[in-house]
Amino acid sequence: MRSTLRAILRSAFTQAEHSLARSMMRFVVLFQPIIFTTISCYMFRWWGADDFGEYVIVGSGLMTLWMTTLWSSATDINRERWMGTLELLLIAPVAFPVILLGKILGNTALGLLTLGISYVWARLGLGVSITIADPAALVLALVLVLFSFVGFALVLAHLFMLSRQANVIANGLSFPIYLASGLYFPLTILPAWFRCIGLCTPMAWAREAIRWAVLGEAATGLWTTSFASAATGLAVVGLVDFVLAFVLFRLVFERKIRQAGQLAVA
Amino acid sequence: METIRVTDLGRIYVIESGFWRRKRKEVDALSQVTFSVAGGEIFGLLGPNGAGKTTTIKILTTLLLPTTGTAEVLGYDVARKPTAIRPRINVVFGGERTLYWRLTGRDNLQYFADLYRVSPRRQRELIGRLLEQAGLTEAADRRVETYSKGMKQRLSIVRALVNNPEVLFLDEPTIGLDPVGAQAARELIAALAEGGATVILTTHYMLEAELLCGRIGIINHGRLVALDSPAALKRLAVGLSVVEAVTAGLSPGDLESLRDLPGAGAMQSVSLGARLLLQIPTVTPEATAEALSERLGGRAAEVRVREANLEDAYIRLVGGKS
Repeated sequence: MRSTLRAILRSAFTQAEHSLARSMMRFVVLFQPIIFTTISCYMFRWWGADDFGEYVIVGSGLMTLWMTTLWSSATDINRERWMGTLELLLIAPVAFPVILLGKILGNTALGLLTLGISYVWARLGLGVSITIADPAALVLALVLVLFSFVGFALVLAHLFMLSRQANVIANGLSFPIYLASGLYFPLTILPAWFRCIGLCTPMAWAREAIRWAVLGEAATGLWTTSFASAATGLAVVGLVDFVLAFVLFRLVFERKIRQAGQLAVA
Repeated sequence: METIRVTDLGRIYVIESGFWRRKRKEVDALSQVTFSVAGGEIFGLLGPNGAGKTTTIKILTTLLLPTTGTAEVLGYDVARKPTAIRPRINVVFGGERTLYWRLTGRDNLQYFADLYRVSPRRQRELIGRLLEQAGLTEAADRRVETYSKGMKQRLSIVRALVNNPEVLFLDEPTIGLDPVGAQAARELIAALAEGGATVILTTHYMLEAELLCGRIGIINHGRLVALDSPAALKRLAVGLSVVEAVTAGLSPGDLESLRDLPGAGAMQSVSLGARLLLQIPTVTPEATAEALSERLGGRAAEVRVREANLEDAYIRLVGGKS
C-alpha cells in the first residue's frame, strides 16, 4: 500500500516537473489564466454587467484547468507513446491506472494553480471585487472538482491510448465543452438537449458548485437548487468516471492492446 | 533449470484498412516458434527486420498475447499470470527512446525504481551504483536531453536493472552506438549474466551475438529456422569461403550478368556510397575469384578471399533477403 502511494506521488511530481519543463505548459499554467481573465473581464465590463467577478475568475480558471486535464490525458499519453515509455509503464508492477492517476493528479494540481492565478490577477490586476460567501463550501467544491476532473481525465486517457490522433481529438473537444458547461453564461439559456452534453462532464457541475460556494443565496442563473445538489452531482460524475476508467482499462489494455495488439505506437 | 519455455508460439496481427469498406488482412508475425532458455544463459534472437523478434519479446514481457501456443517465463504463463512475471523481469527497447528526456538521469532511475516498488532505503544505494555502472555519476543531475546517444543508451540499460531482474530482455540495445559505446554496453550485458540474470538479446550485429550469446535462435518470416550455439551455426558455413570485391561503375545489368559466375547465385551487394561491395559465398573460391577479376577488369580495386563467418551462415539461413 505504501509503495503504491509512493508510486502515485512520484508519478504526480515527475509529471508536474516534466510538464513544467515545457515552455508551452508553463505558458498554459502561468499566463493563459491571466489572458483569459483579462479578456472575459473586459467583455463583461463592455456589456455593463454587475457582479461578474465570479464568472471571470471561475470561468477562466476552470477553462485552463480543463485544458490541463485534457492535456494530461491526451497529449501526455501521446508523448509517452512517442518517448517509448508507454510500453514500460504498461508492464510495470504498479498497475497502469495507478500510474496514470498519479500523472493526472500532477497535471490537475498544476491546473488548480490557475484558479488561484485567475483570482489574484482579477483582484489585484483588474480590480474585480469578489467575496466568498462560504469558504468551507469552496474548499469542499475544489476537492470535488479535483476528484471529478481526475476521473474524467482517466476515462479520456484510456480512450486516447488507442489513437494517434489524441491531440486532434482533445483540441476538438475543448470549445464544445466550454460552451456546453456554461462557463461564461448561465446554462439555463441553453437548449435542454445541449445542456445534457455538459452535464455528463464535471465542468458544468464544478461551475455550479463553485458559484454556490462563492455567491451563496445571491447566486443567479443556476439550474441546481443548492450547493449540496451541485456538490453531489460533481461527486457522482467523478465516481462514475472512476468506475468507467476501471472498466475501460480492462477493455482497452486486455482486449485491445494485449489481444489485438492495437497499442498505437510508432 | 528452464527460465523461459516457448512452445508452438504463434501471433497473427489483423490489419484493417479502408474507411467505408473495411478490409481485413491477417499477417502471420510468428508461427510455431519453440525454444527454451536456461537460467543464467544469454540467448540471442537474430533475424531480419520484421522477422518476429520484437513480437516474441513483447509476448514474453506480457505486453502482447499469443494467438496460438504457450509461453512461460519463470514458470508462469504470460497470458494468465502477467502480474506474477512483471516484478521479476525488465526490458530495454533499443534506440534513444524509453527515457524521460526532460528529467535528469537520476530522476529517471528514481521514478522507475518507485514503479518497481523499490524501497527508498534500497534506492539510495542502488541508484548511485547503477549510475556508476553506466558511467553517468558525473552527469546524474543533468537532463537526459543533454546526454549523448551512448549515455542515453547506457542509462536505458541500467534503468532496466532497478528491480534486479531475474530475466532481462534486450531488444537491439546497442543499435546506433559507436564502437566504444557498443563495447561498453556489451560489457554491461556480460556482467549481468555473470551476476546470474537470464538475458534475451535481439541484435543485428553478428559479432555482438557471437561474443555474448551461449545460443542463438534465428527467426525468419516468423519461423525459427535455426537454433544452436554460435560455433555450431558457423559450421553451417563450413567449407564455404567468401569472395569479395569492391567495385565502381557497375550498372544493374552488369551486376545481374555476374550471377552466372560459379557459385554467384547467392551473391550479395552492399552499397558503400559510390562504390559497391560484392560478396559471393562459394566452395570454389579460387575459380570464382579468378572469374570475377576477369569479368570486372579495371572496375574492381581488389578481389579477395576470406573464410565464412556467422554473418555468412546467417545470410545463408535467411536466404539473403530481408
